[in-house]
Amino acid sequence: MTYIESKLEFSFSRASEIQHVENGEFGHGLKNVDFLIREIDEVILLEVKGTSQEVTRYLSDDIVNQLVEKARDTYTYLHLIQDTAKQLTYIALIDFRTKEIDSAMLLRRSDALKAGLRGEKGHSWQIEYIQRAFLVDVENFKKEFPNFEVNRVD
Amino acid sequence: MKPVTSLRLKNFTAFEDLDFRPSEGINVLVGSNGTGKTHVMKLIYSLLSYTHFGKQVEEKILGVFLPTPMNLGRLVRRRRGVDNTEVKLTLADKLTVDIEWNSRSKEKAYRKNPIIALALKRKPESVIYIPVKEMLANAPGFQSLFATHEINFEEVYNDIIIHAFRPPRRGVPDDRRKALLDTLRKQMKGVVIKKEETFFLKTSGEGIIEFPLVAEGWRKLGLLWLLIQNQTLSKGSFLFWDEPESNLNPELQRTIANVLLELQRFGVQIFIATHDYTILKWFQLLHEKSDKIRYHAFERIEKNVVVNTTEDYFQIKPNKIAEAFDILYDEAIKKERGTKNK
Repeated sequence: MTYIESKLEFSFSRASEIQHVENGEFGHGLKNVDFLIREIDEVILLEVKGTSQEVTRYLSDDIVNQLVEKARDTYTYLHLIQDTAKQLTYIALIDFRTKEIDSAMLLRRSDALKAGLRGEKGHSWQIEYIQRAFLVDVENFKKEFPNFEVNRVD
Repeated sequence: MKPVTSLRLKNFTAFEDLDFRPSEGINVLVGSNGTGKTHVMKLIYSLLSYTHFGKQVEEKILGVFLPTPMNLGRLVRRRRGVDNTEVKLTLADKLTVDIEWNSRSKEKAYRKNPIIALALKRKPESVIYIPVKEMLANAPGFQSLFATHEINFEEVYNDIIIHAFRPPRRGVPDDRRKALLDTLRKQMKGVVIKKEETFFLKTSGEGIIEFPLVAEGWRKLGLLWLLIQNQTLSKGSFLFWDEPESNLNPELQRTIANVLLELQRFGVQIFIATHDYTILKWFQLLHEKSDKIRYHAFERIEKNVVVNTTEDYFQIKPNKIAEAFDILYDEAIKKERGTKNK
């Protein structure tokens, strides 16, 4: 089965269970990621962003903050439905359709995302709810996650 | 002087056969260590500047490269047997420096066109080489020591001090030059002054600070400030800068790229060798369509070095600086993947 998100077509044929999340589906004003991919030993939170707007916006702190917020709210949802037994992996896939973005920029934003997620631990929060986080473009998504297929649809 | 349009090399140090075609604006030389970037810059510098120092071209080459022993033959590409080195530098007005020597040569090269020296004398003071190590802090006594003793410093270190000591030209600098000076002044929070043989940073808040106590990055900005202020860097001049990024925090590299782009607009031909992503990227982001910039990627293929030249940042091949970040990014992902179930 294939899924379309942000002008990208995904196929998760080898994944255990796919939840393509609709905006607002979690209720109570909680933000959501686009996919929850439940595998044998982990749950993957996949957030997909297309860059129809100005590309540099997708390298901003605002975007990192949004990504962190979505991870936190998704974790809250998983906690409330008692589905946090498995490790959580977060993949933020940004479809940069420009050669302006290189590995140095991806690395920096990837570090910012991890720092943001760790910063969520705060003073009273005792767990790092996301164990692994990746910020990738389409090319690196294909390379690093070969079990998933992704193609542009336009 | 007119800009350099080509450098042809045969059997010179790392190069078997090189046809180097620089831009008349900015030339950014990239490549792994040992690919000859500095050699190309030093050679062009020697060929353009020797008359300023009242030297023969061979003497200048030897002084700048400092082989041991001081024989031209040491600069011939190393391999078995006797080989000839050919060097031909051409300027936009078709003037050439065309010399040749072999692996047995000591202090004399064969000159194919002795007239060039006269042309170079037209504006001989305008060829600048900024070496990796900042030298103004070591200026007191250095020139006299260099002149009288056999000290093992390449001549570029003495030359840059000579240029920095030049007094400013008469008259008021034009608005663009003033703007550049102002940009540098703000970054280093002061201006450079000279007292006898010593340089100082004169700040508005902390008084006068002797150069050895000033951060090395700011000293580099100070040198640039001096060369713009005394108008050594002006239309028709040449600037060679080896690793401008050394000792500079990346946040200052935007300033460096901006200043170099503006100097290029004045008509300064610039050559920099860099290993730094930030400064390379700033050139790509800040340059305007009318700016003239070429990237030269030096690559060692077996025992030879080849140079791929492009005006498009994204066509720099190989781009070892960007590749280093590819590796870092891949490693970061690999490490993150390795945390699974820990």
